[in-house]
Amino acid sequence: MKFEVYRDSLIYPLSILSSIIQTKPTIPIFSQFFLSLTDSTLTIIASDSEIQITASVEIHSTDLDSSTTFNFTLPAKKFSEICRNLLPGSLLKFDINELQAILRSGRNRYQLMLLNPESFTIYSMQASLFSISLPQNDIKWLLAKSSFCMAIKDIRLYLNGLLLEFRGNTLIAVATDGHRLAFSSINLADDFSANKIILPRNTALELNRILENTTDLCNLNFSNSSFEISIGSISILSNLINEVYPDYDRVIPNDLPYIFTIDRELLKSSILRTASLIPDKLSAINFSFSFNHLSLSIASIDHDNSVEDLDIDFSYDITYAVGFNISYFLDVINAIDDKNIVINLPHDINTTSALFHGLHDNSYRYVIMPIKP
Amino acid sequence: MYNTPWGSYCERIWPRAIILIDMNAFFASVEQLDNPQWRNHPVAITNGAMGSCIITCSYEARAFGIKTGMRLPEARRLCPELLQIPSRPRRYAEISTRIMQTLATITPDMEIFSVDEAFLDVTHCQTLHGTPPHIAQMARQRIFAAVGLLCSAGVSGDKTTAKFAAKLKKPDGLTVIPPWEARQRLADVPVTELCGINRGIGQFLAVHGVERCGDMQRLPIQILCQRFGERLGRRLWLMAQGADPEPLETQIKAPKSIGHGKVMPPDTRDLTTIKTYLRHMAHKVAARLRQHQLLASHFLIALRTQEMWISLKEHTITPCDEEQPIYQLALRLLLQLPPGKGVFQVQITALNPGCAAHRDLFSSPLPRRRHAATMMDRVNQRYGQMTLASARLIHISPMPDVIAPSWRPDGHRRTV
Repeated sequence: MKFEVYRDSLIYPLSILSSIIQTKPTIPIFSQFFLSLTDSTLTIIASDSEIQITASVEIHSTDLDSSTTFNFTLPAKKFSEICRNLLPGSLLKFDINELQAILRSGRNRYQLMLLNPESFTIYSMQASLFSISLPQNDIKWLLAKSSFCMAIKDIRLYLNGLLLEFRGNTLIAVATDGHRLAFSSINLADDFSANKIILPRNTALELNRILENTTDLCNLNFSNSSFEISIGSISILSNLINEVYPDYDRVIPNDLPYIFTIDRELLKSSILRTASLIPDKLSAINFSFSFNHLSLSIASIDHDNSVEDLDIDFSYDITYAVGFNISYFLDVINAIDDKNIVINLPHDINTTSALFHGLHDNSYRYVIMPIKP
Repeated sequence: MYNTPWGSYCERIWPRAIILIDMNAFFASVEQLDNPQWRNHPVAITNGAMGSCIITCSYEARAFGIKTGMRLPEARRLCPELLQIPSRPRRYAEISTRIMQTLATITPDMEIFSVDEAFLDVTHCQTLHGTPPHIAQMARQRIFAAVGLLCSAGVSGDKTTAKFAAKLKKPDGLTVIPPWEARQRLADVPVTELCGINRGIGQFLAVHGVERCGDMQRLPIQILCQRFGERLGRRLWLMAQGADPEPLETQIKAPKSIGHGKVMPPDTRDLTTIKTYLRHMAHKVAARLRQHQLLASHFLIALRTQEMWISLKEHTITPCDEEQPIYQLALRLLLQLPPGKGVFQVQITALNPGCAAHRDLFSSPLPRRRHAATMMDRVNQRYGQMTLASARLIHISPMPDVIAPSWRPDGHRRTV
């Protein structure tokens, strides 16, 4: 079977598909792309145990009957590398038999060994419970504001994912690793019945990467155990984490007693200067507040220390000390778009966490558990 | 007081100078110091009065061929008048702390290598205190003045040679191997005599024709780097030639694990006894995690049978520092123990403990059990270990604390 396809039409879909291909997958077939040729469309599928991405590509010509379908596999990383290195505009000619694929372009010729396409498991969406169309930039914003707080390989599986919750006419995203929490929400045109799903970590990160800052619509389909999103010619199908997400409302504090506003860039640069002694940014930075004054300090394990004093708008006549993980704090500062951020501090840092949000936009908020200074 | 032939080594500044101070038969010496009637008598220290394994013995006992690790009945056959003394870890810890404080007055560049050994890097205080042999002499005199105990010292240009030198003259010796003579002095020494070259490494070296340190220079360094990695391979090659590049570890690193183990009466088959030992280890690990404000969620539980270790890595739902959840994990391992199989040793280790200062958002405020544990720690700190413990541990036969070789006066290794 022979067909031809332009290299340029493969580059974008392959860049998306190859991102989920693992270098050493537990099942060898997951190192392959599954390709299916029907009529004049080439469908390419990449999969790992959690997520499956499908892309459709228009081909230039084929000798296949329009009524038949031809399936085969290609080694994913090698095929992507070949296409990436071909000259722009070049035509790639495929000659496929049961055992091997011969790819030609100009005076290049590649011969690739093939695996049996029948061993490639293709997942399909289960009975859809409900679906929704949303602009890409809205979902991207929702994920970008929260996904960085997801846990990595936590024993509590539900923390290694991102909660999407439909609540009335609001879509909420929540991510937490147990020490910090991110909450972001967007308004929807219609009311939806209450529903919660947990996207696996990889799916949330891939979506954030693939979605673009456009108002083009994408379709989201939800079922009990899977989730599908269609973005143009790309379709992503993912398992869901079937666990109960913890009650996040309980840990987002309300009515904290000490509230002040500070210039985001000023705070960020001060923290970076103070933290220059610490190479890994995993240590705690201590904040000592007094009336209209903030002192940032860090002590390294080598007994070095650094201090920076700032004049701020802290209108409480008390002395107050609290510590935060530096990288958690910087993540939050980077995620807030506002020029000024509002910091809400608790009365008792042993039992209550601190809340952060932008001065003008309260639709996304962050909670960080303090560390005793 | 000391007549040593190292006058010729004192004429120039050493490019690098390391001293190893090693106390002589430390625990036995402390007992003989505190109990003058035992001086000049063969003395063996065991864990508690019921302990049957000799953890160290005095030089008088060593003259009869008694060694560390020997069982008491065997030792008594060699020396019927041997005195068995139960160990007093708190006393040894106290004396060790005073020794280390004394050594810290000489230089801050000090690595506490074990409860009775410390490296001093005196490269930068030769102008202040004199030549390295003189500083070693001063250290020995200051230790004697502070605690009344004798020690041996090895002086050289690197850690490995200094450690080797210290054991050449024991007890109460001072051996100097200046860095410019180290290579030649080590040339005929078997490589396995060096600290850090264990049997496995020794066998690998023997296969490649390196039996003595002098053979090492003929072995291409790449062979060692390929087998042991760039850092260790290079270090092995250099240390056999009297040029160990390893710096002193003056900081105590964050713990990679915190564990406690116990040798049981041989071939214990009674499940209740095994459970009691496991609970005791869970109690000790949890108390130590709390003491150092650490939490762990992964634990290694292990039982040694006649033939092998049976082990299990388990995790708790949230990071913990309490006895009960750790004990519950340990019980899962008991299910894997074949019926009627005897156990010789138990071990519980908390893996990768993390800082407890950062509380979890979803953990409930400190429960009553946690408060009880904190109060128990305070009582035990004041009145001694096991003054207050789980009811099941109250009637156990005495399992005295043991001071581990890795004991340190500060940080998470301060186990006693």
